[in-house]
Amino acid sequence: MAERHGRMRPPSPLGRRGATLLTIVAAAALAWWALDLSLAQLVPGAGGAQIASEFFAGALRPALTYQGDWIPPGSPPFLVTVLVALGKTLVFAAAAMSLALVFGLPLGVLASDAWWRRRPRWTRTLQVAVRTGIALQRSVHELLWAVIFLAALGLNTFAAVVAIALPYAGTLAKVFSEMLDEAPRNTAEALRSVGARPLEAFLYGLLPRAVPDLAAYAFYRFECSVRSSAVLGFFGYPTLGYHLALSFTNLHYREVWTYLYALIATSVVLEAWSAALRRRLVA
Amino acid sequence: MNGTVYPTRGRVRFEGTDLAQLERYELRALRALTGYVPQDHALVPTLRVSQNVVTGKLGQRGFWAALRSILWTGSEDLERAHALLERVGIPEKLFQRTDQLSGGQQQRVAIARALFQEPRALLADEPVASVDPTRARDLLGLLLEIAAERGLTLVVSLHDLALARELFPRTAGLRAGVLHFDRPTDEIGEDEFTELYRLEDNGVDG
Repeated sequence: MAERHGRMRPPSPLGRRGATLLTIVAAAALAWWALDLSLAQLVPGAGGAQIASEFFAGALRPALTYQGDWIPPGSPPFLVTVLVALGKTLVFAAAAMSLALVFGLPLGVLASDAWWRRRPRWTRTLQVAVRTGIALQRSVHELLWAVIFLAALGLNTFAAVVAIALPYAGTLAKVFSEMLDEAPRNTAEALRSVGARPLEAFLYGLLPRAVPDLAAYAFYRFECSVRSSAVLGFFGYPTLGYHLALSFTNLHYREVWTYLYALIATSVVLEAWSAALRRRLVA
Repeated sequence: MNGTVYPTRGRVRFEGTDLAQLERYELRALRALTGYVPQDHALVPTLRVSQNVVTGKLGQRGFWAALRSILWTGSEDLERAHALLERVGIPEKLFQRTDQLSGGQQQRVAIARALFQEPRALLADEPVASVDPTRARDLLGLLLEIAAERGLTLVVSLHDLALARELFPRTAGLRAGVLHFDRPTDEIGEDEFTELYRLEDNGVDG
């Protein structure tokens, strides 16, 4: 071989992979140039440095009581306020997530290939319709949904829940449908071969094979929804974000850190919980 | 042989009916009479053994009865499942999660599921493909005993011709989807077996 073709050479370094890499690097360079980014922008001015150092000093001494001289009469103790805000954050997240699951699971089934596999061809148009629908739900971020609902309904609790639930149901449906399509099919086929109807083979053969993955992902999305619910507070909902924004504008950075730590601690606990759940389900 | 794949030539008949001629609901009814033990067991690992066993009856129950039998298994079903597990040698596993069982035990659960169906015929697809030789003999022995007890037709596909010759009264040799012989095992000569093995091996016995 080598003699016939002269010297042996490896394939061109600028094959498809090289081209892909180059394109990514070029896109990054273009973006930096378009935004006129320079590292000098990261160096704060004197005033900025002052604020930053005050802010980060707060990290070491999070507030345990209210900062500032004037506290509205009848306010609960600071830590109670934090816990209540945290509780409301979780309640908004749980309400949104339950709604997202109720719609996300059936939509996920209808968007999956596994559901439509043995049905007439024309029914695929329904699958395409569902997939388009969930793509639209997902393409608008929960904060934008919140803006829309806020404009339409005012500061309405249900609107906040729906604002989170809509894109979350879309994301759940998309990922659920992929998980259903990747689940092992042998049980469903074995059930069909002893006379089960297609729906039964799906319910008892395919769905349970996907359940561990579905549950683990739903739990992960619950973690995400807690963060979303906290951020919705910036619009005035009584979640952590509301208090964060308030303390921030009052320059009460130590309070800000208390709220942040509460959010971080919650995320860590949920993460550990979902990891334990995943282990139990998949083991 | 249970109408999952249709033949390109020839016919599959079960108790005189040609499977290719059947309506869907008729085929379903017929499949409900044919027990099937797949090569890979095809159990649901996260369900209890009892739940996996009662799915054997799915083809014979209405939708709601089937749902109820899986979510809230009745005592009658549980007793039958327990008796069948006893027959295959693992009665103590009734309420265990299926994925806690060994491969061999899971295969026994798959057999119990097929028997729960009360089938008239039992198909086992390479039941000993991933089992060591001693276990293979035990397992085939168990299938043969059960078939004899219940008067079931037992069809087993095997790659191991020695086992087929030793244990089964009738052997059909298939090579690349073509039937080479189908006769009582004693009448088949040594040369016919070697011939079958020469290129690609595949035996079907009954």
